Amino acid sequence: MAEKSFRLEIVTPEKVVFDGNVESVQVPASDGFMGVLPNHAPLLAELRVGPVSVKEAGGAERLMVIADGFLQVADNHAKILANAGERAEDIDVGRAEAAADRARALMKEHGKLEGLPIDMIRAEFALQRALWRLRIGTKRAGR
Amino acid sequence: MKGVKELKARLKSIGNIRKITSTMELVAGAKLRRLQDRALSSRPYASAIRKMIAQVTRVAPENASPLLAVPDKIERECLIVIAADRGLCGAFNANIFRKAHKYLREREAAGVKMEVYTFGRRSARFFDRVRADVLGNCEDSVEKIGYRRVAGIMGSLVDDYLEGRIQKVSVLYTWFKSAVSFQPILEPLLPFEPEAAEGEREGVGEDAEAASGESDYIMEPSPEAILAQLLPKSLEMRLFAGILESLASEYAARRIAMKNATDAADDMSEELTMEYNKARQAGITGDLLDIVAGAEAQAG
Repeated sequence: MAEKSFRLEIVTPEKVVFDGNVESVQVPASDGFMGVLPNHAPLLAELRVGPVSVKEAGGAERLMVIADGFLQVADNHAKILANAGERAEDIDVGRAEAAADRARALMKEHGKLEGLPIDMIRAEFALQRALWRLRIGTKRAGR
Repeated sequence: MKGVKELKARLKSIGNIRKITSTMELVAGAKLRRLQDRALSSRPYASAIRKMIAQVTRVAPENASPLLAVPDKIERECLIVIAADRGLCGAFNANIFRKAHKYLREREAAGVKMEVYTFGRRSARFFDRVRADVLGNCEDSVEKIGYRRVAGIMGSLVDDYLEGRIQKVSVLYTWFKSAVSFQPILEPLLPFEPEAAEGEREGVGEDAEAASGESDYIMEPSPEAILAQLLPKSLEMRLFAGILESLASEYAARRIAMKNATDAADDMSEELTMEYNKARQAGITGDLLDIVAGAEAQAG
């Protein structure tokens, strides 16, 4: 039986970001972007920071940003578990910009000290996240 | 019978207390609604991650993660106890501590060295008083703890576990069943048990059913790599969820305690008003008698 759409859920510890029927979804897997269409084989994948683009069953396109997580697909039901996730329309560009600046400043500081690798990783991660939010947030604004 | 003056003073002070408790009831009710939402909206994530782990562990080779290995002998165990920052919430804190104390005794009787990690100021104070071996206190107020802080604490406990300093980690918190019902729950965290994840909580059935589906998953990049990410995340989430559950329960308990106090104040002031009126009436009758007796004496 060939279905034309499948259910996608995007869940974070704080809330359910998205739950609906979609025709396709593209996610940032740990080694490159990956697309999922209906009737996909069962799959479990690790995700990193990046955009999730969704084509809803009605044809509408939707953009979201997630930070780290997992994708599970089985029986035309896809589930994304992410540490954090936001819809493009909810992104506060000003806040993302501030976060990016903060992360950059942190990295600069630690770049000199050359210690504290965890803080460095965290800053880099924050920067990545902020940049993706910015990119997607402004894309939506320019439309 | 007490004097009219004293009765009036008592009535007033009960009225004041009632004002305070009824305000606290309202505040707790409002907070409860918010915290309940938070606790409930964290559940889909927690249950999804649990199902995922059950699936991965089924196909992953044995010993895919050191967190799954069961140690031969448990010498030291860490119990994480989540309670409130403040009192005035009925038996909420006492219930948790009673269960904690009992568990600690049982385990020590079995020859295990117990350590405690506390969340909530009341919890820190209690274990300090009973001179338990405290591994650490999370000094933030429970209401303000963020996910990242919890993840950090869980991470350091996982490190302790991996280095062999402790062989078991459990968490004790109050599970929020509903606004009028909550109960202390003991949940094992490490060694990781993928199947028996919900501990003493009811409603585990759905997980078992969902996990029995297909198992020939494509794993990207590999089961081991996924487990290495998934297991710590799940532990963080469980601890965090425990805090959210405990917070919702705390406010539910506080609301009920304050409601009871307000009701008790109502009862008392009703009784005292009755007594006050009686005393007042007796006074008036006495005065009248005096007047009548005086008038009669003059006429006679």
